[in-house]
Amino acid sequence: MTRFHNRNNVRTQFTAEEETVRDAEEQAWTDGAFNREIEKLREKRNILLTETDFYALSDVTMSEDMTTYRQELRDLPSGLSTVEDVKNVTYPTKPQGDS
Amino acid sequence: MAYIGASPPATALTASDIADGIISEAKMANDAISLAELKAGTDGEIISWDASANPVAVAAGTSGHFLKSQGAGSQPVFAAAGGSWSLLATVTADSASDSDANIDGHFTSDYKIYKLYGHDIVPSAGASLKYTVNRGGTSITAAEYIYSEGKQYMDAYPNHQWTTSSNVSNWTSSATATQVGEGDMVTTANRAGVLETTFYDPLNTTTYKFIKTQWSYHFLAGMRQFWNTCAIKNTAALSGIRFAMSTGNIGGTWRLYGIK
Repeated sequence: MTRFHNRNNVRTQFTAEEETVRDAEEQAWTDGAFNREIEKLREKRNILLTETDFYALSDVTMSEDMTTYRQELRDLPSGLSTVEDVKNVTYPTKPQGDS
Repeated sequence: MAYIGASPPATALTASDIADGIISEAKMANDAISLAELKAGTDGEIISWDASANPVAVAAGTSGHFLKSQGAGSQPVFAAAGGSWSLLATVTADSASDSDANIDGHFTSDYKIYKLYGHDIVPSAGASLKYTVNRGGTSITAAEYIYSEGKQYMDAYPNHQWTTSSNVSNWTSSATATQVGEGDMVTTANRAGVLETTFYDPLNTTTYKFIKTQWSYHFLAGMRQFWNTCAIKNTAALSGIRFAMSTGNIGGTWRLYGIK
């Protein structure tokens, strides 16, 4: 597919060199899909962990359900190897009764 | 006129009976001159008076301009509206054909601050928006960026959340882009993104430059709002900005305003 620059509404066709560079950029983007998805998952996971961090304080007793929930959150990224794996992840349900 | 004998028959006065240029203002009755008696002029012009108190025509000017007083002693002119904001450029990119949208070469000494509004921004493929800053029409190099820091708010499962976002990422080996977003912007036209970018005195040559962007877009699971500031460690003047997607083409319209 021929590519074009649009500078102030004036279109200029990519040179062969620019096409090569852009091909490489797009390939790098495609190759990085899994890393981007897994990073997003970790960000979400970390926020959910942070919300229950106070259960780990020494003067708070953590329920078994909460312990399991937090461990499942930590384990979420393990075993994932494709973008689809990451997108289809099911997040564990936060235990009821724990605020 | 004295006469002897019968008086001569009355004869209608004709134009030839009146010498040229002798009708004084006092001989004219008030409200006696209608538009029909005025000499034909040029469409669009208006009448004023010059420094010798003689009537002159004010040129028609440019469509959309307004009549502007220049004070006593000068004739008015038609000129652009005197507001502090001026539309300097509109650039429209088509996601069917355009790999980038480059708004460049519009900064002048007439303005200090520039606002760039983008709307109807859609990619040709699920991708992330990014931009490079131009100097002399060319993207600046990676070495000139100090930081490009962003934060985004995501409205999606599992909860609404703030996340950090990518800062400076590679555009090409010789130019560096600021990436805004996380790569899964949707391609449907009715879920197009909008952005606002501010340049602060981009032509000054004494300070490093800040460029601030707000970017709102839809992804498959919701929407994101992104705030970014790009800091450039070079005091040289800037000339514009170039937007593209991380992959595929970009469509949308950008309107650049100068603010005095």
